[in-house]
Amino acid sequence: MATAKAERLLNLVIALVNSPRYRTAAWIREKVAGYGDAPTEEAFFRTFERDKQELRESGIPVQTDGADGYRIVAGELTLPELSFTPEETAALALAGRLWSTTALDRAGAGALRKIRDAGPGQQGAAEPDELAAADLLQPRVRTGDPAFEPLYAAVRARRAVQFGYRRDPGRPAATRTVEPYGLVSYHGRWYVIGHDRDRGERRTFRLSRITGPVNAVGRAGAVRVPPGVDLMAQVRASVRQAPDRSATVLVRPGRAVGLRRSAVASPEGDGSGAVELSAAAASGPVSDGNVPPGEWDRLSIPMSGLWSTAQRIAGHGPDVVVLEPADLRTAVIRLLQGARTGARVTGTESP
Amino acid sequence: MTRPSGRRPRRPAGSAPAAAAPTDGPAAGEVVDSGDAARPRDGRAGRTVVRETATERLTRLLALVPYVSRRPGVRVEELAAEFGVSARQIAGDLDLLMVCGLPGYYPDDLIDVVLDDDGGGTVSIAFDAGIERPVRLTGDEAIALTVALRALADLPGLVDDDAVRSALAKLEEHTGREALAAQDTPVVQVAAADPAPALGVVRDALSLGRRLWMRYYTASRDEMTERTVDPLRLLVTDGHSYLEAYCHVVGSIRHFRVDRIEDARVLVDEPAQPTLWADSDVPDKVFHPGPQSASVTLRLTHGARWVPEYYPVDSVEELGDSADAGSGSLRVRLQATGEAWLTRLVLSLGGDAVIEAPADLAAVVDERAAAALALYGGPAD
Repeated sequence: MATAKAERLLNLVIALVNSPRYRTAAWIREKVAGYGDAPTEEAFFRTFERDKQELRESGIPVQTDGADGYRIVAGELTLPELSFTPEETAALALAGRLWSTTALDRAGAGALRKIRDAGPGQQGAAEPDELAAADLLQPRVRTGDPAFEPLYAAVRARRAVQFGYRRDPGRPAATRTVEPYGLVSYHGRWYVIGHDRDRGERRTFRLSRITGPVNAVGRAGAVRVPPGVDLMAQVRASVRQAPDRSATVLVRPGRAVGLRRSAVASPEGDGSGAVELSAAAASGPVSDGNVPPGEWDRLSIPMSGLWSTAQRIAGHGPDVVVLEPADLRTAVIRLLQGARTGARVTGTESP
Repeated sequence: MTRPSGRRPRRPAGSAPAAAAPTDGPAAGEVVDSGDAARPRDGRAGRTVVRETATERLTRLLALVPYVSRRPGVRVEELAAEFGVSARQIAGDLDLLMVCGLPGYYPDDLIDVVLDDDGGGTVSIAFDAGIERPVRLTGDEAIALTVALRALADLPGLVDDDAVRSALAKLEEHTGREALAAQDTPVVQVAAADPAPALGVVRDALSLGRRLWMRYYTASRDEMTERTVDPLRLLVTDGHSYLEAYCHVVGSIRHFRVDRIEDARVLVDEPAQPTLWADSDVPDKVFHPGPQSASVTLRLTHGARWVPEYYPVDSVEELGDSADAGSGSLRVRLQATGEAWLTRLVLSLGGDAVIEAPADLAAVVDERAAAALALYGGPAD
């Protein structure tokens, strides 16, 4: 059945693109293979209307003269002759293969093929530059999240969606109804940004936290994207907390290399930081004036979020000590105490 | 090889099933079979059969004609690979093309597909019924390409910046309203990776085929190391750029995150050794369990349930110790590259991650936490 329909559509495209003038519906019914079989005039028009609609939706420009005439202008149907420099060809080749495992993967490959076949000359063979670049450079954007395809379809159709969403891994999923504005891939993760109807606000959702199916609700075309919305900025703001203050920490020489990399105003290269020696014996709480014994480097590190900074520091155990601020020091102490409790629980439980 | 062999085409060799199938049979019809599993439509497991609509098929048919016209004698297998469908599907498509053409539908009006099984299953088109050029890009195609180009433009050093921008400009000028619409409302945007300062140097070493010296931060051991590597490829995946290279220090192929390369220099006088390289795919996980990896069992609660999302683990088990599904504890087994990395992870999680095995590693965590607490002057216990 689909074969018969594909055949009919192809015959219609060929007939109209080869016609020097507008053709009437009656002409199409009589001349184009696949339309003569319609038992009644009404059945023919139903089929013809649907076919025209589907052709237009898939980008084939069926024109009408406003009355009962139809045509396809070859120059509007097909790509003009395109020519690209070898460098542009290499960039296009990479772009066409950026997507992996998704509908966009096929679309990218299809676009690339069309552009190649719209180029000058008879040879469609890939240029050496293109091949070389393609081998050495492999950028990929994965879209393995099951929610990607239905959300992409909804965004394209400007249609609202409903899905289960688990905001916090420790809490049950809740149903969200969202008017999606667009999809953003940021640092290997996909996000959908849209108007959350229940909360009456613009929200960002991570695709990997969507549970169960994504269902389209309402009619297509219902979603209005506010002008000037910057999706990428929206995601950046929700994902990454800008550092708002800095912490002063002591680090054992040669340790916590990663932390040193993020230190502000540390000398380039060796990451040794501003070295400050202190042999003063510590008793009582550590502070700027009461540094624990031994050799320490003093670093200033930007804080993006209290707990994420505390976690980075606690991980280093006795190699890093917080001088200030006080809330960071308290947070690190709490994490270390928690790690001790956890470790002791193991001791009693393991066989 | 491309001789027209009369109106009745012969079949390509090795396509017996298609030869037996009528044009309307399922072989030629709407079901793209599981031979297409290499390109599943989505990530859902077990969904390999994809229903194809008539317009999707029409899109392929319209692309097939100019593709074959420009490459007379192209092999059926090549077409299958290019269009991402089975050879059987291509045979069905060619069957369909041969019965379509100009109104009148006399033999000379039909698309003339010349199949040559002597040439090993090659195809040519002797008459294209006016379908000589590729159709303009569809909305999806324009999005796929323009969004990807913009993503590449945001990775300075990876490809020639000017070339990306000029290619984008030409595309937007020539491909019509779909591409322009995609520009006005960018429904998809990609930041593939953070720009990494060393990207340009790495790219140079690759294209020159030279060795690369670098100072590299190894996060798993929290160390700065110096290495000489033979660059193989540059991968950009999951939010980071990676240099895939033969590392002379460890004596095998490794992936280096380009944003962790502190300093790099192309060794212009030292050509990189050609390495036999079979795998052309980007690896699924860029992770190498080293020889010093230990198998570790962790119990994760509350705030540590994200661990298996971030790190490759061998197994995950829900312990079901909460009434609310998905919020109890997890037991995960993983290969830890070095004791130091795991110790840091567990310490940072402040009790939400507990080492169940091995016990000596749990003791190390406890010792380090106690030593750190002692520095703060508080009671260690």
